[in-house]
Amino acid sequence: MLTEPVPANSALGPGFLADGGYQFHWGVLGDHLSELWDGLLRTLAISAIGMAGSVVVGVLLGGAAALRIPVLRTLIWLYVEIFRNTPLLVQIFFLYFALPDIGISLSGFTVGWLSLVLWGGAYNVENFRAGFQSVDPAYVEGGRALGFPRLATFRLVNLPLGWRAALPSVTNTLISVFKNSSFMIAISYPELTETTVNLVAVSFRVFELFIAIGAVYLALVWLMSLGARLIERRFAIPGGF
Amino acid sequence: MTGGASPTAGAAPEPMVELRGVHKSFGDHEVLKGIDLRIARGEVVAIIGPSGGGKSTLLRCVNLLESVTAGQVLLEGTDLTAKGVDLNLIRRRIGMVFQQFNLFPHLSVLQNLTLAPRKLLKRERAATEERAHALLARVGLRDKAQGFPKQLSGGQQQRVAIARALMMDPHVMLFDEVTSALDPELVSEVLDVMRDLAESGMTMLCVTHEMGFARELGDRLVFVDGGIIAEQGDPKQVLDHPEQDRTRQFLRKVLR
Ligand SMILES: Nc1ncnc2c1ncn2[C@@H]1O[C@H](COP(=O)(O)OP(=O)(O)OP(=O)(O)O)[C@@H](O)[C@H]1O
Ligand SMILES: [Mg+2]
Repeated sequence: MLTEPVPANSALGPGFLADGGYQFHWGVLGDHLSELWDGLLRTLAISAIGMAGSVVVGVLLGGAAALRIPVLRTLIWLYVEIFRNTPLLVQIFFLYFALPDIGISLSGFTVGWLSLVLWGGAYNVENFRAGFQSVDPAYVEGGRALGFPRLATFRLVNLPLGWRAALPSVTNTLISVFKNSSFMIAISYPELTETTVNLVAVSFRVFELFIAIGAVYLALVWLMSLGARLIERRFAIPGGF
Repeated sequence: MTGGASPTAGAAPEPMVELRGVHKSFGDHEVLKGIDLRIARGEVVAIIGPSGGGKSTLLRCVNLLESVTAGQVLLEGTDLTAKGVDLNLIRRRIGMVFQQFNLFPHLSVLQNLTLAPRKLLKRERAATEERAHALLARVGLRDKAQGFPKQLSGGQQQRVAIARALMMDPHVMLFDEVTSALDPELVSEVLDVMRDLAESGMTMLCVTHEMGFARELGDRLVFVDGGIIAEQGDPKQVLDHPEQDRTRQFLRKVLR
């Protein structure tokens, strides 16, 4: 740490020392705290809407698919196939660059959350559909025999049991939605990753900045996993199901 | 005990349940091949027969959990197979208990009992809960109201299932081998509840392997084989002096 900094014409980047060591300057984080904070807030905003929206899409369309509602079921299948089998990046570009050609111009923020809702929604449709359909038909029959109509039986039986079954896979999807918010760098929407890349360009503190946001992403993902485990425990059915 | 089973004042009373020429196919496979059956109010009918003979299918056609391919199903004179019949309303009058346990596992015993009366009949909470506690006491599970289904033994679950069906004040009860999935020592506690119910005058259709139960409580025994009613009559008569060869063969196997 006492060696001289690398001269300007060195092949090594800024921050490297003559012997190949690296001089950390964590102060860069403090210098750009407000930009990083704003970036984090945008990440949280599009992720929160993306996660919540993908759950709503997943429950509604997954429910319709599980109930095998004709026509709707085919349309849902088409949606899921398209959004699960094309790159998220292509979907984002389509929303941001192609839609304006047919008169629909969306802001970076709108494309941010909307693309996450559509992408995560497609996965959650499958997660919830599988959960709803995993419910033992005996329980459904018990409801029908009492006189509950099909939809009411679904709401009272498949929904409460199915979401519990779907929780682990839905959690995985929501974590992916959160991490994929960084794809918005492709349309220069200044969320956390885009903000950080811009700061690296002016400060050259590659390691400090990327390690820092990596730690932030990791901590938030851990928090989400913890939240899922708490929900699982809170809604556990005594004796199982 | 048999209530309206005997004709009153000459006029034949309207049957509680009537099946007229009921056929049921699954694809090419015809499972019921013309079932005619009249069940009087208060009558207890035991249905026996070999596996795959169509007993469950017959029972499920009574509340149209299975639609019929041909024929009519009547409940208290109403043709359930007619167009425009709201089966969800009809099913409130028909209680059913299955072989597989099917209490709602995410609801407490008390909630299992009160759900349908509250949601479908719009009954008040306090009144339904009072009724639920009374029925739980009747099936010997007074202290299990707050328990959850999967915390109960199989016999207890079946007794709760009977109580749940009774909450809707059904006019007829269908039982499909409700003791078949139980450990032997748990069978009698469920049969006791069914005996109590039969003695209270409930109309009952019971698919069963319990020949003792059929003999003791059945007003009639119906032997179903190959999708038809092969033989029927007084339980003691059919069990002790079967007329048909296949009835004899079946009984030889199960009574041994
Ligand atoms: N949903 C269905 N789809 C196709 N075939 C069915 C269906 N339900 C029943 N079957 C067939 O109908 C026939 C009669 O079945 P059912 O369950 O009524 O017999 P069972 O007399 O109740 O027999 P068990 O004593 O084994 O319960 C069987 O061959 C069975 O495979
Ligand atoms: Mg059966």
